Amino acid sequence: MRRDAEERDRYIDGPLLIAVFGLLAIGGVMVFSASAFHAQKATGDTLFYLKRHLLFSAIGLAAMFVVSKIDYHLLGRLAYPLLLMAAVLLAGVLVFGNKAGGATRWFRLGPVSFQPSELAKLAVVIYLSHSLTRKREKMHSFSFGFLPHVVMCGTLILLVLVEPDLGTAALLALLLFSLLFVAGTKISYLLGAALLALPVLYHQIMSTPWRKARMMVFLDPWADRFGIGYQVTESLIAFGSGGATGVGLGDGRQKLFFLPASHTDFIFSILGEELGFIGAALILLLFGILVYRGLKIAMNAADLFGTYLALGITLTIGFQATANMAVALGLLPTKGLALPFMSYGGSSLVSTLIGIGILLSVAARERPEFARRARKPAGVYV
Amino acid sequence: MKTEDTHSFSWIRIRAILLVAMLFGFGLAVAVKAFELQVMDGAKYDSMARDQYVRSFELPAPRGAIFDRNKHELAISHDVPSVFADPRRIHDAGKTALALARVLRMERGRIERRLKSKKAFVWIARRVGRKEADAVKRLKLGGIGLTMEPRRFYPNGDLAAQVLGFAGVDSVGLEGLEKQFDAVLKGGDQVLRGLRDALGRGALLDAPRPIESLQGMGLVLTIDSAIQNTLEHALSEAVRRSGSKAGTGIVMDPRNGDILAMATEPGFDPNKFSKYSASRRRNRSVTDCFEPGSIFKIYTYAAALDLGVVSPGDIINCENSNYKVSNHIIHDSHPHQNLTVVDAFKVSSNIAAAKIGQKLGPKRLYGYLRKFGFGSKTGISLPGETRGILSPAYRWRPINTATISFGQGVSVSGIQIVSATAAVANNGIRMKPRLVKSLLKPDGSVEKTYPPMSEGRVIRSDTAHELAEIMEKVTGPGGTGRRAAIPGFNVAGKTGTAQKVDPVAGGYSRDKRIGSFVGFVPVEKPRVVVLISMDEPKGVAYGGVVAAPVFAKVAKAALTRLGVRPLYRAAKDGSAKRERPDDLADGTIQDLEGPPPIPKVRVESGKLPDFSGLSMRAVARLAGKMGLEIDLYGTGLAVKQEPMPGTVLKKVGVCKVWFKSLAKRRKGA
Repeated sequence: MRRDAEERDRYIDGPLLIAVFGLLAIGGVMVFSASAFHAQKATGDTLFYLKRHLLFSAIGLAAMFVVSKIDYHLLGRLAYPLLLMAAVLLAGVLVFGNKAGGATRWFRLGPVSFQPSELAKLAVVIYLSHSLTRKREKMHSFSFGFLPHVVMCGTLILLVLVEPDLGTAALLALLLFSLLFVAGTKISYLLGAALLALPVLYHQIMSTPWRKARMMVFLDPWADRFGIGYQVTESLIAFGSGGATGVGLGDGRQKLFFLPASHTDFIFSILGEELGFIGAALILLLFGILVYRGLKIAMNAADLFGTYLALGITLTIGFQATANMAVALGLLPTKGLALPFMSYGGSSLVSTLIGIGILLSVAARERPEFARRARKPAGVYV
Repeated sequence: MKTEDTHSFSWIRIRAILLVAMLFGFGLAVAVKAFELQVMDGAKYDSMARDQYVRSFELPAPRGAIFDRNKHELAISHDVPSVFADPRRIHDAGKTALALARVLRMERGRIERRLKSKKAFVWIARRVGRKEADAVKRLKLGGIGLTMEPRRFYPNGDLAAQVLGFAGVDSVGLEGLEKQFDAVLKGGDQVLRGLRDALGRGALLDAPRPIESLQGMGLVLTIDSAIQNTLEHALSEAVRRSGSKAGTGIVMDPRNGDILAMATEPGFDPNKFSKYSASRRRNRSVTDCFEPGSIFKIYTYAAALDLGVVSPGDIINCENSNYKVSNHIIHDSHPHQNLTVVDAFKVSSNIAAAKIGQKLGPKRLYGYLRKFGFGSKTGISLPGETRGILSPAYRWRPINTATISFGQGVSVSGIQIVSATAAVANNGIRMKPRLVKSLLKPDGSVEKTYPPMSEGRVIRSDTAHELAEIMEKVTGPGGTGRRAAIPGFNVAGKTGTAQKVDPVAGGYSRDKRIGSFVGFVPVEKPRVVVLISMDEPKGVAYGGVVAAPVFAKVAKAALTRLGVRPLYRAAKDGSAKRERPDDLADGTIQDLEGPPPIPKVRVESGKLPDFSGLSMRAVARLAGKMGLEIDLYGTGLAVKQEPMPGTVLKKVGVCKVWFKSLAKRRKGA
């Protein structure tokens, strides 16, 4: 017995939404704090980035609401069209895209820009969830369970790779492997593929001077403090100088042009500086709640498709958040990954919130036994 | 395990949980790292952050100006641009250095080395010209900036350079008054803390105090620029003419100890002080001591007259230039037999001085010398003053007593000589040399005045007058310092020619001498004491030859500057006679402004004129016009001359003219 329509409409996963709104709120404040000086210098309007960030948050929340009301099974039918669309856009961005910082990752449409790799993440999750559900009985098979997924996703990954956007490519690959693993692909296939991918990765890093430099910086950021190590060391100084309680909201100094990309990829460093360890731990906790609730939704999903969807979205957000924070703290080499919900950037924000919408849609159609059990503690009827 | 099982829903769930657990593991790693960075090493990163955003701005206060006694500026400060760099913001040090090197005309390598430093701030060129600064601005180089810094400027170039000294590149006084009064001149530099962003833009955390409240005090000196200028020119010319190594001179007002001028030639330009050697920048009148030689007889005679050990009319046997003391023989430059005390002083007999010194004995002579200020610093407000060398009386052997009496075996500084001689000129009371009259607040009002300070009575007033009269003879006919005579004034003084101690061979050097003259004028009411001292002149080194004419030139200019008019009486018989103030009281005296009329004399060109019937002044003027060197004897009107009138001038070396006075001087004058 499934929940009736009325119940479905009124069901909302409380802790998940608290985490999402919490991250969005803190993110908005931090975007303003970190970007005000950049904005003033670039446009004369200290609120420039904040206004746009709030606009995208509103668009994202609206999209999330709409998506959460849609039955996620509809996405199964959209799997291939979405995949095709992502591939076309990724190919298109290479030709028509806007070059920025040596990479072509954006379409510029008037005042807004759109990043197709964000769509690719959702497309890969939806495609894999659909395909793995359909082939659940053949997952042990190489040619049915393994090869098609690797080829399909591999194409997208390659397109992302040549943008170049190694961070997103790696994230997509990680997602592919994770879902294949969960779906029951033979470990030997995964290991084999990983072994085959390693030389490619090595070549990718070593043949590109700046990637190689980033690798060196990762190994010892202080060796070239004011050269290529600048961003990482400034990030560490920002984060570290926050101490346990931070220098105070808005009082951070590293955003005064010391730390590049302080309102986008390195917003976590500014947060660490201004709010200290307490603030950083709060962010980790909120992401923890989000991932935990995502896993719960995946476990309680009405069907396997829902499980894969929820898990894929949760892992995408979880991996990306962890990777972003690890970069800020010098645990991973620098790559261009945004911190979900918090970094300034429209495409990322909207696509992440659409993902949350899908998660909510899955949650609203949980299997009845879980729905009953979850009635009291987790679910909230409004 | 069956394949079906591994694909069952529960297995999928287990693997999903495994994966999420791994994700939580990553998250934990991030948390641990965050804890390490913030809680464990937070302080370290905090100080690194502060290093880059907190910057101290040093706002140098404008240095106080230095003025002469008439408020003419001798040293001022104004702001000039300096070029600095933030090496961390320089991307291509080589290119930047090349561009800067061209504009600033500096060595490229030097700039490049500085640009490659790890610091956040380095100077490239300090206190550059406006043109250079504008050129640097036009280059628009990243990481290169301009700031204004006060620079010390000495508008008169080398005028009074050794007295003023100079302030270095950081506005720190390094020499002279700049050093001595650094604390009051420099004012309060303020250090302001400020925030700076990575673009180098700053925001002050502290409110700056108004610059006027920080500016250093101004210094008003006793120096008179005009007299200083005359002294320097006269010295420099004398140095050139005599081939001396150096010449020093001091002009002092004996009544209050004011130093009106003080110079050492060759001098230096404090605007470019680094281009000169330290020896050239030294104020020798204060830092160096030398054996004074015969000048020192003034103080021996002063002591003896003051104690009544001798009287001016006493006869002293000068032993025909051969006087034995212990195992030493003392000589005079010319042999003399019996001389009066006055004449012995006038011809500068060493033997007479030695005998007077012996009569005084070491203790009393030493006591007077100390009262005159020898062996201790005068306390003039200049750095590095020497106290000279005067060993205590109990160490004197008999020969020391004899030689010290005529200025050997004792070492003194120029300022000590001037100060001691000024005591004779000032009725026996010695004034402390005063170089700084007052301190001025930045708004120009007086902060503090330094009043004239008395060092106490050295000799009785009547002794001083008696001695002055004896000293006057030195510049009169037959005196060793007659070239120090100034027409229209009575000049008292003393010549000195000292052998320098040879630092290598030990003992006295044969050819290295110091010729000096110290004196004061007018004798009746002294207004200036002048010391001229020529170091190692080539050829004739007698103080009467190398120093006395310089004295005359400088003292005369100083008197003119001070508005002291010449004193002489236009007697009924038409003769000019120098007189004393006492004589002026009877109203028969007429002060004339400007030079007296020269009686018409027929001068045949190229031949020696007939001087007879002319006053001393008129003869001197005439001779001066013709470029004739003359020796004058006696007082009154010219009665005799040698060679005879009409002699071809070219054949004349020195023309001697004798004068005879018609009216006798009044007694006691």
